[in-house]
Amino acid sequence: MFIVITFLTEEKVMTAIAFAIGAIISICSGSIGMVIATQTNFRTTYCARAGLAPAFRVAYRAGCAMGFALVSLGLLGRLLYIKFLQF
Amino acid sequence: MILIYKSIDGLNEYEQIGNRLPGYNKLFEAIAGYGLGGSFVALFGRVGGGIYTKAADVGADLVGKVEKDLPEDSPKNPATIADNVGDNVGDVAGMSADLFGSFAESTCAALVISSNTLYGALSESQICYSFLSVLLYPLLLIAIGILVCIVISTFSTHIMKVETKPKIESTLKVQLIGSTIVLCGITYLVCIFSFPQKFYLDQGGQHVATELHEPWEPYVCSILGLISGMIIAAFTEYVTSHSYSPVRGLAATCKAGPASNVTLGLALGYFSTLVPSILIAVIAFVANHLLGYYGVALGALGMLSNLPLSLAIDGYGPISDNAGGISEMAEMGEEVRDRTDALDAAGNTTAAIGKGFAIGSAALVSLSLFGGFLHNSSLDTLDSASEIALTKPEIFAGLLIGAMLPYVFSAFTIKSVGKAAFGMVE
Repeated sequence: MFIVITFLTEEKVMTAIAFAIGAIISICSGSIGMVIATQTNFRTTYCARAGLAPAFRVAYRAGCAMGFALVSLGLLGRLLYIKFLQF
Repeated sequence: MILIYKSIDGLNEYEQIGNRLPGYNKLFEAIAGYGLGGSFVALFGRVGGGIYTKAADVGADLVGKVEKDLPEDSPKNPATIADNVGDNVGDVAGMSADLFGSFAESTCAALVISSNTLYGALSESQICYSFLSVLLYPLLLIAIGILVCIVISTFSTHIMKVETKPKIESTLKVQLIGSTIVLCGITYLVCIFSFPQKFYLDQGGQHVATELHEPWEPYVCSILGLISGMIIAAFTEYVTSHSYSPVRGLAATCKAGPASNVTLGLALGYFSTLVPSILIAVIAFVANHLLGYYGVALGALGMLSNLPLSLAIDGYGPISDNAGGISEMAEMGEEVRDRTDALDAAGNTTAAIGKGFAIGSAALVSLSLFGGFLHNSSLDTLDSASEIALTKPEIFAGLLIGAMLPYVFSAFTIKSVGKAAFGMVE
């Protein structure tokens, strides 16, 4: 895909690099999500022994961490690339 | 948190540099590759992960429940592990890749279109090139969305205490509705802040724009997406949650056996296409009238502006699902299993909500990307564009509604078949 994009688009390598960055960030955020999920699901089970409220809090916090990591990584990656291209 | 602050900081710093544009359209065209990368991975993540998830789930259930008569997530069934891993792969990684794809595509679409079509107006006759702060409005909206979502998410973790089972769903609902309402207000400030008093949109390929636009128009486009995202979520919850009549009625018919469950469940699924399609059609129509394809891209962006929270609510589902599996495998007793089951039931509903967000915004993004392509290749100046074209707002809206109608009709017919059969059994 990288090579195809390089040859077919107007901006050549720049678009291809953006493609690679997008793909890498997408994979990263997916794996961050998986790591967080595996680390929190047994914690949720443990907290469920104490009651519903702590279990919910742990699970929801994990979800939050995942969501914020994904969106902010996406935003950051793009901003850095725009900034890089400006020079 | 550090990442978020960095991105916000970068954005602020960036706006100070913003002056006249020298070739920003080239810059943003290069950025378009970013969206492509996101959706490329989403394709693999969604398809590969999804198939693995469902295969592991079905396999575990077939071996455990049908052949050996074991309960769900029994430690005696080795396929349970594969099932739980599948939840992580498909529902966490696949879903986040999918939403990331939509998110990257929608911002890229807005950036690419705006870089080619948006011009600021100094006065009635004078056209200047657009400032960078205008072009970066999509990114600013997402950044503000992150901040708002941080504030709102503290409500559920620190202020609202979830002690009883019905409170789980209501807390999650408060999150979505609260963030939507707060964002409705703040988006207006962002629009005022980033758009000039009057600006032109270069539509139809003429380089001298004719129509003046004001900041409320992008605001309306974003808000439409935001509110319809909430309505889609609410409708999805109504259809899939165990506390409302559709699922309860479906459960009641299961007394007659699995067949009525399959038919009526299928009917319910078909019926659930009704509200999202109509909403997307309405956004496509209104936004296209206001700001052209840029408006459609902003609508998709508005739908995704509270993405962190909808992702959080999404990711919460598989986590509580796996927690249930672990408690069963570790034989932690009835009470723990009961609590995790309550969490899991709410989580199943929320997983459906996330899919509604991803697909709804993807439909809008595809329309706006198509429009962007037409503009860049200056096909929209041709006469053929004035006749029947897919990119016309009314035709696209009609297409969506037309595609939805067979599903709703067959939902009604299948439902009546199921009901009649159920009556015969009775």
